[in-house]
Amino acid sequence: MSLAERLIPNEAPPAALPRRRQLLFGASFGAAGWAMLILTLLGVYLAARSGNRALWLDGKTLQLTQPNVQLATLIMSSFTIQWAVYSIARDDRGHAYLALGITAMLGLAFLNQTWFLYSQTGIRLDADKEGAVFYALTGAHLAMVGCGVIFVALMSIRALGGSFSSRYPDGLSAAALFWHVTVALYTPIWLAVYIMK
Amino acid sequence: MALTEAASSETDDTASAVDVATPVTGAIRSGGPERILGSGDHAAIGRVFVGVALLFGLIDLVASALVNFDAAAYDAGTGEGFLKAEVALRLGLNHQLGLLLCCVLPLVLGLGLIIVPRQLGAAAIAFPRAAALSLWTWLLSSILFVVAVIFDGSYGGADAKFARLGNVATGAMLVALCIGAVCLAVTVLTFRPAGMGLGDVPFFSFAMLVTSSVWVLSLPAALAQVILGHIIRPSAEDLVRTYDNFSWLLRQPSIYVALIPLLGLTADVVSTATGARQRFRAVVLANIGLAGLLSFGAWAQSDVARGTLVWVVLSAAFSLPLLGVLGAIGDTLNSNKPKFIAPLGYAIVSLLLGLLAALVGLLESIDSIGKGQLIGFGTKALDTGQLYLVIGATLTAGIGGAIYWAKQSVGGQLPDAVSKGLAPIALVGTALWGLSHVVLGLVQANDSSVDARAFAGISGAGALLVALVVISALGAGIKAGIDSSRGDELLSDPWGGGGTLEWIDAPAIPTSVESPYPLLDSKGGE
Repeated sequence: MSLAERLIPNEAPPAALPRRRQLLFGASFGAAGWAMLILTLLGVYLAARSGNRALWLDGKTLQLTQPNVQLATLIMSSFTIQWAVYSIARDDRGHAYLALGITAMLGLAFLNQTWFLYSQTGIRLDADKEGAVFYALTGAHLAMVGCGVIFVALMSIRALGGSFSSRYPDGLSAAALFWHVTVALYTPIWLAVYIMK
Repeated sequence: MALTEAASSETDDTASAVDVATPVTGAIRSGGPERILGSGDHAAIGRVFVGVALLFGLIDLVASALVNFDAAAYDAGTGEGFLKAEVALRLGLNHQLGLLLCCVLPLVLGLGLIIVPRQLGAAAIAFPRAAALSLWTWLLSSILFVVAVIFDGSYGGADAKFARLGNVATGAMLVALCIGAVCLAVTVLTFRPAGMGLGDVPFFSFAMLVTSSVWVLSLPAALAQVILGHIIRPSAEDLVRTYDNFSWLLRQPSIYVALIPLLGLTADVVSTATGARQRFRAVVLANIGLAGLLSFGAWAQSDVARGTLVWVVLSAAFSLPLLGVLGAIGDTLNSNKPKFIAPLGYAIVSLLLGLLAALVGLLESIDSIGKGQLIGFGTKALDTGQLYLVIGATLTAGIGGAIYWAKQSVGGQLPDAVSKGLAPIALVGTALWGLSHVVLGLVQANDSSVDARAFAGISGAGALLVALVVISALGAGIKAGIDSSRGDELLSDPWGGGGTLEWIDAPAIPTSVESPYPLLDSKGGE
């Protein structure tokens, strides 16, 4: 008998599964809260811009390359995290790990791109009219992406530990739901802040 | 054997062999503070929420009385009352926020944390560590908020550092309450026993699900304003503007969210008092849901939004769900002779106070039809009066709930004289506290020169009466808790008419149910 069989005998009863959909509902409420935070900040941004139309982004350059690549990155990550959910639902663990890894990498790439964008815009937080609302809005979304990456990483670790399978895919589904909302929220920001300027 | 358990003298041979084989160098026993600080038990977390919320409520009520008495002593010559003008401004702004975020919202959240899992027959709450995080974050931030106000900070304070501290503490309180709300909502959605659909959930649990959902959608919107106000590295004066930006949370329709739990509580208490099922159960649930929809106010943050017909209609309509629930419980009371149990008084008083607050909202809505003011009521006075009525109604309901579920919330029954005697005082106190401002707002119609001092004095006296109710309930609750020798297990129904799962002893809780009233089913009740 191998060491593994001695430590975990075959006749050991399976662990009781946690309640279904608990994480899924938790992630839904969390994502809804984040969405309200970001949409409120977007509303404040638009109101501030309409009140200072002449001076808005005066002398600043908001290039489109970075935001466009960021949007493409997030859209790709939406597909990869759904790939992870699809794979775990079929007990294809190898593909699930690969998809989770790529999703986390794309999320980190988004964070890196945002940081680079900040260094290029030249918008000052306390001296420019648009500074506070610009950084509050994009920073809140940045934080949401950061939370999403942490969520994906934690669920990946649990998936590696065998917590999720076709019988109980909730953790990955919850992370995917949160991630999709994060991606969806970037679209109005991209449109309002970078395209419509 | 767990390390924290005491060794039993009656251990069998097997257990003794295990103990001998496992060298234990010293037993670890956790004390009371350790158990509370490290607990993920929903009842322990909820009890701390309720107790500390009442304590903060007491502080805010005294502050409210001070502000009102100061306004009553206002001298036009000096431009001040007995408080300095800046102190009066600081207390005036912060006591209202404190009453909402440090008192009534955590009070109902705490009650929900204690009761909701038990009403669902669940042994725990969803995400217990998150619930504990919610408690300790809220507690720490509430203390920081009070400290900031004391040291000339928070909103209206002059010290920039403490003003920012107050702003950060407000943001942290909003986050903490949101986390707690998520735990409650997920519990109701996923911890129900087999056979209990969402429409079969006890009224209070359903009301907490609706309340939590509205919080999750509303509080982050206020948090956005707090964050924005903070990152501009504000001066103390700038933060007063931040307060204005999220003060929609203290006005209709958002403030109505505090009233939703009392609808569920009232319906549950009436069922218990009559020992009968609610005939119009669907009507009660629909009205609780409607109240949730109407109290979502994050869309009405700007003055422009508050001047629209949508705002007028939605704000005016809030009295409808209250009347709907009143009608349904009236039918139950009419069809079945109720026992006069103490919580019934609190439930009815809180519902009446809530109706008064909704009627004030209706008046304000009518006044805002058209361009400018239709009648010219004193809007600020009406807003203040409505806020006090809502806070008083929710406080009364919260105390009534703690008395109704005393066995679960404090461990033992409160003295009957205290229980029954406080409800009328709460009614009179809240009416004086809030209605004096409402009457002032009405008599100010097209005549803003009305002397407000007498009204402020009456309101201050009302605040003190409500404070008396809170301190009496708090004292009686602590005494009942100390007197009781029981642990955390459920005791049987002290009212004799309970129909839902929280009245069943823990070992007897069924794993599946067939109706919203499993206990009445087992008794063969109608």
